[in-house]
Amino acid sequence: MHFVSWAFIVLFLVNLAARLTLGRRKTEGSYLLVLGVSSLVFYAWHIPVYLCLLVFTTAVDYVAGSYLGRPDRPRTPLQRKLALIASLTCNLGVLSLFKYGDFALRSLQELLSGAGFSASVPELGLLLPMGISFYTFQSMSYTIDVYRGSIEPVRSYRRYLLFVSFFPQLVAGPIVRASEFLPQIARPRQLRMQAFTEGAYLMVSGFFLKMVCADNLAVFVDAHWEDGYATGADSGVLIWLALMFGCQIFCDFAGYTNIARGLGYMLGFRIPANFNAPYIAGSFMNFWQRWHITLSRWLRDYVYGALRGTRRRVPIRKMYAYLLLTMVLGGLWHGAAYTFIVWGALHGLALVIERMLGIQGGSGWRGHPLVRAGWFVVVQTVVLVGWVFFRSDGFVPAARFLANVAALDFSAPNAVMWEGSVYMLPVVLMHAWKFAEERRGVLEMPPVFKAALAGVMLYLVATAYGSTNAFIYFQF
Amino acid sequence: MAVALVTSLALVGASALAWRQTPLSHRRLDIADAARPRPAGSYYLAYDRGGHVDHHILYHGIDRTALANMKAADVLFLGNSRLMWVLTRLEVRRFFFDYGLSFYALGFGHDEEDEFAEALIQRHDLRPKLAIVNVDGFFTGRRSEWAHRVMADGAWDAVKLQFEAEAAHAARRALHRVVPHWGDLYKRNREFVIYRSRTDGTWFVGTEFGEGSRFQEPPEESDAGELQLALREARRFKAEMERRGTKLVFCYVSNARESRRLAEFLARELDVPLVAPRVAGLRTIDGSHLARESAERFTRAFFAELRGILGPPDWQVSR
Repeated sequence: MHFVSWAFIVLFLVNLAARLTLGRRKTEGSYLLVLGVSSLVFYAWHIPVYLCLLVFTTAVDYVAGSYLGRPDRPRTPLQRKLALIASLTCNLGVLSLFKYGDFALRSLQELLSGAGFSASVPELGLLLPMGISFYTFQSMSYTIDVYRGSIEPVRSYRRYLLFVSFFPQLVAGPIVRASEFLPQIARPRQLRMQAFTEGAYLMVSGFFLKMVCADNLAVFVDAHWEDGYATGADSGVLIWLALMFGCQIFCDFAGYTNIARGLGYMLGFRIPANFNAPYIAGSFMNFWQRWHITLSRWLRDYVYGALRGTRRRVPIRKMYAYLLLTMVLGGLWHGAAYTFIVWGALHGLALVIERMLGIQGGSGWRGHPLVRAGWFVVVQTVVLVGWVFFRSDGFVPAARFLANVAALDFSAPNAVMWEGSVYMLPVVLMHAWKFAEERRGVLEMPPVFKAALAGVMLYLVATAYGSTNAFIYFQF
Repeated sequence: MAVALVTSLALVGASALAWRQTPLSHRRLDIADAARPRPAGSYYLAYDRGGHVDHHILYHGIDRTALANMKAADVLFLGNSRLMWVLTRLEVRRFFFDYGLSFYALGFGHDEEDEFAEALIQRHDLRPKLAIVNVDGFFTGRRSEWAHRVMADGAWDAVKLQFEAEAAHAARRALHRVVPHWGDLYKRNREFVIYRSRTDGTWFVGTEFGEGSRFQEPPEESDAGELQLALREARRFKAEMERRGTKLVFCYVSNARESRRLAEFLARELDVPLVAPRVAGLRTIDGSHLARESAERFTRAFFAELRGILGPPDWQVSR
């Protein structure tokens, strides 16, 4: 099930009704049961049999967490390590099988063909379970945190299952930590108008970003992107297309997150933010503090942190290698294709170079306005180049696309591109507002203005929606 | 919350007024104006802006009435939307009523090809007495991208798709009677709104397209390779249908894109009767689908030729 569907509207209304009746304190058992069942229905809506996968991986992690954290039966370090390994192996094994199995087999086929063997490697042809990358990471973080002693294991499997399967964030994040969510289940949260209206505002803005901006931009991007692979394509049009895709993916993903967070608020839960105006980032480090915040935080704490260990001093070259590897894995997380690996590597390399130059610190000459402005342009250009790899059908087509851009062969911008630009305007305005807000150029928007803006967005959702498209991040 | 709702309603009111009281009133939206078939329960949504729905419904057999009628039909029509367009006429029903035969229009939009039709026939084990096949673009040995998706999906996916399509259709119909979709209004986008009969599979086209424009059938040139490929596929298809006890008749519906040469070639090579009337002064709405008046004239000529192939109905012979 996804948010832009009538089935979701029905599910939402059922849960809202439950919140207003059964769940006025949010901690009632009957209300939590409704949430739990709704979450399982939400997930099973796509492919019912995959519910077994979700239940299986959560059961493994719940058992592992219980095994690790029992104070009456302390485990030896070896036992603890084995329990953690079992949990991670199960999670990563399932993820690898469904997500990377065919990619590995295809790569093997290419290798064999390149070596002169004619053997044909059959593909598994498994349909990717929706949201597997998200809920797997979420579930793994629980076991790792219990292992590290950061949190106590949860006693109730139902509560653990609710944490992993909570439908607002189940299939496309944000990736919520157990330490953020589990305590909320037991904490009463009375119905409050402010939380309700804030949730409603987030949901409306999310639907606006997705249905009006992302879906309309997708029409232009999908219709013209492949023109960029042909020799002699107009550079201006391609730059415009890349910008449109950059806006499309932001609106798609940030829109989903807003709906998820708004839904969470209305149901009595706080879900962390996942985006914070990423296209005003002045450094690569800052970009990853603003884009898919929960993923970059996960990678920092569980991959980079694990590689780096607890040593106080790590040789600088090793640190750079860990950073690059973490970002490559982050790219691979997005999809089983070389373009995602290249995308991750590009960002990894950019972060390493930025660290080498010490630019993110902004001290000395690095803090000069011209240097900062110049680096901002570099950052956003590299982000845009990365999006070309992200969107393209393969490494070679992406390279052709970029070669056409680099040829700087411009003709007059066509009307179609101008028309598509209308849907980028909200992204520009949103970022400009955030930029001004952070520099105290504007005060926080008064509630009545926010409400009026919500009214405008709601109207536009009804009268300017694009064709219904699946959320891009659902494929992860 | 109240401010947000008031703002939305104010914008709705203002745009509804603007749409009705300004020159914008000359621009219409098909979703708001499209006719509905009667009785409503005998039809389901086949196609609108959201895409095709009938492929899933028929392939996965999720509508029991449609499935039963399809299986019981003595005559099946197969082919693309050009054929389905002319089969919307009352003429079809009258014709087969005379023969005491039941029929089912099993053509599809999206330029659906023989692979999908054959897969559907095998899936539901259809064994009609007669299959009338619109040849243009049919015998390719391929299936469309949409057919790939339909066949990869399961029955549950078909149920979900139908639910979402019907709900969205109803909501959009109601909404855009009051406020326009600005993008469609500005670009004057046309929308095919098509319902499909559960009884006989014929289409009810809700959108009014007007008189259309004249066209000429394209010159009778065909690629030799394409002819041979089509012949190979048609031969295989004929063998499969004969195995099911089904006789074949080929047909060709006049249009501006594909010539009748392929139909004539296949009919001759496979010794299959061909229905391909030449009717003067036809008009299409888009170069492919006949305008309403032209479709009626074409259908009359079509069934007159078909009557010549089938012979008079038994009750006429016995008189």
